[in-house]
Amino acid sequence: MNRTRTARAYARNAIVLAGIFLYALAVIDPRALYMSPLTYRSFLLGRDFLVRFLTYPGGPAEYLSAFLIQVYAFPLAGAAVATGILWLVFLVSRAAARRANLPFEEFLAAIPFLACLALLSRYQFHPALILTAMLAISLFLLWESASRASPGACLPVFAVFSCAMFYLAAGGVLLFGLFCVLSGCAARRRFSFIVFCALWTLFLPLAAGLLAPMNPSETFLGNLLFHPANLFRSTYLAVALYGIFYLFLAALATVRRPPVRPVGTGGAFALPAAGRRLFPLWQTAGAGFLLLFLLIAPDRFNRTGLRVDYFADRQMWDAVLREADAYRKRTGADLPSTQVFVALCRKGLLRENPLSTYSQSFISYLLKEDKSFPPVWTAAIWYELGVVNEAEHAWCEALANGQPHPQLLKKLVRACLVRERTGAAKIFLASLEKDIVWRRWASDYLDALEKTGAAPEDEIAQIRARTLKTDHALQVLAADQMFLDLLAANRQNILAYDCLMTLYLLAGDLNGVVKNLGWLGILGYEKIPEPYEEAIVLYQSLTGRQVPLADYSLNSSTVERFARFRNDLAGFKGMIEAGVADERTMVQVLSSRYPDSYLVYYLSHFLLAQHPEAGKRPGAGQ
Amino acid sequence: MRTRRVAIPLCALSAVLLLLLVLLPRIADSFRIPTGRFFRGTVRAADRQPRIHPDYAGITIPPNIAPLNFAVRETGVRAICRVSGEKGTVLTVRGRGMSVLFPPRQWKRVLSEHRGSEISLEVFVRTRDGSWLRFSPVVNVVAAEEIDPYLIYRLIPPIYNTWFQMGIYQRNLEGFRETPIYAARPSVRMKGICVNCHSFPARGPSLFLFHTRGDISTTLLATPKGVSRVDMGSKMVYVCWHPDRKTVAFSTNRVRQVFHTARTEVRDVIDENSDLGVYFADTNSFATDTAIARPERLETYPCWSPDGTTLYYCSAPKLLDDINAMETDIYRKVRYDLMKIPFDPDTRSFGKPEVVLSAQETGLSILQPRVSPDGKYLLFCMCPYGCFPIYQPESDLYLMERSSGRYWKLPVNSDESDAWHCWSSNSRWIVFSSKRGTGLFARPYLCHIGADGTAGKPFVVPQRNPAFYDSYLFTYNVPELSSAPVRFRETSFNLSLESPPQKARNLSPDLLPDAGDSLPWRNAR
Repeated sequence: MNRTRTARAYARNAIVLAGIFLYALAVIDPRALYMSPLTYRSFLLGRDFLVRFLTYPGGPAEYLSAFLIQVYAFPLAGAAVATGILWLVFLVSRAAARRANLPFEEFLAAIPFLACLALLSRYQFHPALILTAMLAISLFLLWESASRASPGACLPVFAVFSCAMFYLAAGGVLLFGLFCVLSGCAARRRFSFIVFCALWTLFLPLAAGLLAPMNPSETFLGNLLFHPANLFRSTYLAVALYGIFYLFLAALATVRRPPVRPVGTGGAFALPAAGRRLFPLWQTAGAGFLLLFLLIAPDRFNRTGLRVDYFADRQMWDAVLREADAYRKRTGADLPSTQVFVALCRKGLLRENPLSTYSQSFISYLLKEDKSFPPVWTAAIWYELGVVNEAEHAWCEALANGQPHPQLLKKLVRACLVRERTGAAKIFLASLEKDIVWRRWASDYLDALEKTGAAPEDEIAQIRARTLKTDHALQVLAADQMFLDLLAANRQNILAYDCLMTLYLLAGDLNGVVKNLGWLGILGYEKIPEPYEEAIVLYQSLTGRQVPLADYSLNSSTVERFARFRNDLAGFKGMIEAGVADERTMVQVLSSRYPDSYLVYYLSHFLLAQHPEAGKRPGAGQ
Repeated sequence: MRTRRVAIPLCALSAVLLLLLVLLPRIADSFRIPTGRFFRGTVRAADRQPRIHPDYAGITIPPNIAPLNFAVRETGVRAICRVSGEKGTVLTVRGRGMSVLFPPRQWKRVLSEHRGSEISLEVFVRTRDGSWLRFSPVVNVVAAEEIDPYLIYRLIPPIYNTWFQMGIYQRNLEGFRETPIYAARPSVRMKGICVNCHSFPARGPSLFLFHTRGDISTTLLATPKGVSRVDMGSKMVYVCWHPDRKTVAFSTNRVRQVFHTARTEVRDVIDENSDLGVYFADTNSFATDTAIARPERLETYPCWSPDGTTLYYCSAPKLLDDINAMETDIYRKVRYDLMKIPFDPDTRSFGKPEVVLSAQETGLSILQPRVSPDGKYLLFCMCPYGCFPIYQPESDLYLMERSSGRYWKLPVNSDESDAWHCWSSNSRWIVFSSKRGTGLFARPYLCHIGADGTAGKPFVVPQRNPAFYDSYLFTYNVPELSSAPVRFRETSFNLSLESPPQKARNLSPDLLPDAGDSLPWRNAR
């Protein structure tokens, strides 16, 4: 009978673990965790890197955390690690609940487990913080056991454990100290003991600060769940809540004596006796709740973005486009990721995607913002354009601001090689050689560079062929001039043309659009893209001049649509003059009748009275 | 029972002895130097020197330098290095694989015994077939003069505009220990600060000064009495201590950064405005003179002569009013002259400036003058234009004899930027930042300068791991040699940052421009 119960408990555990593993593997996708800039920590092989972490408090926990994060790059292993950490959370929580002699210990232990699962789903799973909390609680339980067994050893054990805790996990000593102080209060220990624990916990970081050059407040708060920077983020609220839960457990731990447990009970998610009578209902309800939670918890937007980053990093452009398509089907909008734009470029699909949201975002940045601080999302576009200097600028900013993520280093390798700075590329490659995931790639790359002097990727030569030949200061270089220079340097730079036309369209420079139609034939366009056609008909209508189209012709549907648009516009103008409608209503109605049409954009931005650009004739920019 | 107690240790001891007997010959074998007499395997001679990395071949080294560990870049499985000198073979090192790591104490002994003479490094490489390859010896000279034992520098990532972590560090050149003086990390209280060029008087860091910008823009002055915070606005950029240890010459610069679209070095820096001033630490006041703060000129890079009676600096006409004028490429025409102006330390007044070397004569921009402590030479760099030579790949180091005004280009230069130079206290060594080999990361290089101005071959500051620089993603900025370590604690700087500043009196409010937070570099947060 006992064996049956034990076997059932093991089977239940196995099912739960398998479920978590599959959830982590299929739903969360550890590769997305690996790519998340919020959770990624660089990890390098070698003694130097290890020694760096061993020289300050909290370093060991951070080192272990950084190592564990690398495992996420391998889906199966990553899912296993995530499952292992979650299981550890459950086991430690259950041990604490048992020590506090609380009923429904498995259900209580599930609370922090679910909180951590929520973090995992939000791609903010910091192994260091969780391991710190687990270590603090585990050491507290050990200390508590030792204190019960030998009350005289209470203080020395506390001192030793707190030193170990401080060194291993820095701020975790605060948690450990709090637990011990609360335990002392609950057990009505001597006041001197409580004061000693409190002062010792506070004194440790200060003493370390005197002995070694470190900032006491930083070491004290490092790796701590209750760090002020973390506490008030909504995603960490769950973590804070379960931290308070542990404090509650600690307070009760010494008040209630441990129960006499019948043999054979236990196992994960086992029900207390009362619950067992309702076994099917409780279990079904619990499982259903869990399933519902797991379905709604994952941050799907983040996951898609991170998976796209992962595929783009490995140059799996088809996979990138698949993710983007799936996102569009799910939400009706384009995935806001530059990598999709790069994928369109690499797969030669720019001709079919003119005036995309990506090119519009990039041009909007160029038109409106100071280019001294390029956001990192622009770097990939600069690189594809051939303005590799600016790509390097943006990537170096990212490097200076955070972790040397391997994907960033790889991009810098390529940027340096395009610019023929092989020495700098080798530095980045040598750094990558110490990375667990990318060492072989870097090593092969370095070997190829040493043997042939050339990069083992065609991409380098292709991008180099697009680079600008004349130097300018970027801050004062007009954007359209830059695109024209790029086209002059490489007449097949279709991205430069796409951006140029997007620039003219967004700026309302119809003259610029018309002047550069000649590139369509050079770049192999089979037909004139629809936004360009609309710009042409607008130009012809506003100037009265016919635009020579060489071997191209306007699509009859575009011409018809423009005719209908003009009629609608005339109708609305009448209504506006009569005071029946206003311009805003007109734009709204026209937007719904002509979705994604450049005609509406031009009207609303450049022709309406209330717009600052109103009254500008086409070609005003020329 | 008693037998068992004896037998077990005896057996263990026997096993250990047996193991030693088997392994000892092999161990001894691998320690043997292939002289051809008792070595199994042939020894072939390679009629060339080995390729070693870093390049420590044919250099003049200080007698107190840390071991010049290197890796042998030849095909093989193990390297051995035999160091010989006047007294014969003095040191033999079996490499860890192909890396030769000298034991520090023995290295020190070798150098001290061969001070002023040559040492020869003979490298042997064991090839895969078991034979040995013997390379021609690498001959280095151990100088008679020591180098200042400490090197202080700023470690920064290859910054364009924003940064997350930077700091000022000091390295013991007689060993490998590097310690932070001030590591400007973001904290709970501060998002982050930038630490500017550090300075201390005459190689002695009992006085230490650096400027911070960002969350807290201030000047930190460390004296034997403690660290204090001096409020001068955002005035100080480049600083130089007067030999009287009470006066600090500084420049105040309104800096703009630009980025090139097709140049090798992407970054460029221009000064929209800059002037010089002096800070008086004893009275906590600062002032300037019309001669060094002319509105139509850009004055920067102050440097005192060793006797304190002359201030050297760089000056250029102000051609650029704002950054939008850059589309005319006029910034490429800004070239600095090398100037000097007499200074009376007693009256604290300046005389009339004169041109030492004009940009018109050289066709280049003359920057960063540094006078040798013996007063004999002036070290400076020149680049095609502008005020920031580390961003100019063509920047090279030059040496001028002060008495004659004769100057020449040092043979220590590379194809990449060489700048941020500094003398040792005995005027026999210089350190400078060089981007050779990478173009992006600057490393500190040491070089011997003879009494007659001849320069030795530069070599990179040694590290315990010969491959350290190969993957190090930080750049060494403003290396300064020091005869003693900076003993101020980081916590002292942190505490002073949070203490109320001592507002310095501006004795020339109409002359010094308010640079404000003019540096384009900012913390990422």
